[in-house]
Amino acid sequence: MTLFDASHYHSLAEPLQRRAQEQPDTPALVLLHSGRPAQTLTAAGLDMTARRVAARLLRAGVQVGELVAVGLPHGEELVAAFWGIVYAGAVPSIFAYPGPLMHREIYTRRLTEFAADSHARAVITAPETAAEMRAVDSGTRLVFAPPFEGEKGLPADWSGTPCPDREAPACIQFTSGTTGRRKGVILSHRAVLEFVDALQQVVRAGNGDVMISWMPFSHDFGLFAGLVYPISVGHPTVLISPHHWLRRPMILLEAIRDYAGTICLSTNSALQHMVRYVNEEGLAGLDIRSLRIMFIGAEPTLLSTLEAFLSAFQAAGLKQRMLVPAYGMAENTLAVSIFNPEQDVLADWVDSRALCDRAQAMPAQPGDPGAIAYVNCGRATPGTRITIRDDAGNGLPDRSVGEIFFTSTAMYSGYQNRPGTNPGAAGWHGTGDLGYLVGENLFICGRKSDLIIVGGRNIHPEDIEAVAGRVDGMDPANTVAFGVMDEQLGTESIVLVGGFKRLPAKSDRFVIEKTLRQRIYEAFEVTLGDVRFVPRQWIERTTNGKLSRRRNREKYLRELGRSPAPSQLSLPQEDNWQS
Amino acid sequence: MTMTASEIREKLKQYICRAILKNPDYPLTPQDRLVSGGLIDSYSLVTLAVFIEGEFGVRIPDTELNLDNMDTIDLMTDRILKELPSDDPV
Repeated sequence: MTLFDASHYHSLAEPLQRRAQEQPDTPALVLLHSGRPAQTLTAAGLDMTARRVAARLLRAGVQVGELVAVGLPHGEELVAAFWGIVYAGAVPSIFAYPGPLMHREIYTRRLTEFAADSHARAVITAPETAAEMRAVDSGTRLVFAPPFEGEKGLPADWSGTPCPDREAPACIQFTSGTTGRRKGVILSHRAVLEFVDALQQVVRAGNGDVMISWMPFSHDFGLFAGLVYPISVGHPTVLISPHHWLRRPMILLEAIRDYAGTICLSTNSALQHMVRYVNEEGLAGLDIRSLRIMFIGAEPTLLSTLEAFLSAFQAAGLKQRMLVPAYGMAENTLAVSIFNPEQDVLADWVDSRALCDRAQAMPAQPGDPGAIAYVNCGRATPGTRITIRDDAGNGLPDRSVGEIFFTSTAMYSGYQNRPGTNPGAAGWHGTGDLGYLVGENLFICGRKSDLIIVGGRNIHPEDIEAVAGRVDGMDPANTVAFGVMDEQLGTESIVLVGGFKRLPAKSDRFVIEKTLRQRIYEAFEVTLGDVRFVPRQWIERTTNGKLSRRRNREKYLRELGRSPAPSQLSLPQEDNWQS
Repeated sequence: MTMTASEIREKLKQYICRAILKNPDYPLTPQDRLVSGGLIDSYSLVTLAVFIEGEFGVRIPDTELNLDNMDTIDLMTDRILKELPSDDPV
């Protein structure tokens, strides 16, 4: 097999076009849905559908470099839309599709807001949503819907709209958030191609690799590792509908067995979900010995989760060396660091007291009082360099906790419509995450900001507070949201606390709570884990009177008799950041 | 075994309040929207489907795990009763 070499390509369209020429009839994608047989797509088939999408966009007047938002369910049309937009020289951005658990009119509203907010020139969405969007949108943007079958495609020898520059945007990954707070991470063709090259070096790709993923394409993990990487290097990829996986979590492992999967994508909460639903019946006949690498990323990975997962599935052939935690973000296309099970240890036990008092990760033995474990997120990916810095920007030595900075060949070009937000002359990106290095290995301890990560999705507490503060009966100045780690779910859960001068009657509180839950769900498609109503003076503030989410979280946990998770310990510098 | 609609509603309510909302006093009504009302998330909905299977012996296929069948206690009760002999159809 020819290895992928990023320097051979100018545009993200080329690897698929090359594959369609060189291996036209080999399976490129297998799509698994509930209640339908598996659907296999060849490289030539995907290329042809992508050409039809591109032809439709170009004929309608979509120009090179314009953003096209995609809101489609998991399936061939979604995959073809992504590549078709790239073929047309336009810039795709995939908006999360909620599956059958959201009313369509709410989804239409959110997609319309997203399209306006992101300055999309066009939208590709399901026919019903498209009809609703055309009705409310007075022709300001083009709205397309599949099927694209009848479309007259671009000629077979057409090699794509010339990419004006390797540095031109290939796609934009948007963070969650309300209008104004949502950030569009611009990734150039160069960044994505370099990411593919780097990942290939890490996994030491060979003939016979098969990718298995359930992650949605709206998430960088699902899009770049689950789809773009295997298509570009020439591996088959088995893509499970996220909704189908949610209902039948074992299908991920069954797909490894059925398709001889070698690389698989997951998150900490996904591992917990599989552990929760495994039973003897599910384990019978399950054999996942073909697996080489199970990447675990997108949210903090807990050692307890890895241990539970290993213990639940070792009978099926799961080995510790297959578990590969990773750390990343869209600003580096995807991965910043990846664990190397052949060279490094999976976890680092440290003394939580030295961590909280001095921001030092001093080694401890498991079982020592105050000992906590951080999972090893591994070494910088090829082309990436990592440093840890203090508040003044000085580099810190091993085992000192500070902000994680990186620079790389797969780095973003800036944030959409935010001049001056490019990574800077020196090219270093401050991640906002806190961690430490031991040799080349990176460990993540927490975050400078109060960002909440729910099942791999980043939620800004400011957004939750803004929506909650507008609910009748709530006092916006005394509404605070924060995340607490739910070890059972393996992810963070959102707590909302409302402070009142005079607490409403119990029955009124329930009315307010119901409205709060509904508004938050409609705005962000997340569920509040807990809602508390407290006297105003309960709410903790910093010395200069601002709400302190961290202190409110600590107080909340204290009152419940719970201790904070390792990823949520209070480090000594935090008062500087938050005051 | 026969079970009335009101018994099913009560069992569902108790389970949701206790195991999912972790608040046995939550004044949940059979018409309250659970998923689209932001009360239970998609992971918890799967837990609920597993509970329904264990408690009532009714398996909700993946394709039916949607708002039309599962968004309120009333809808779930209707769905369960479709496959359960009952003295008191809704």
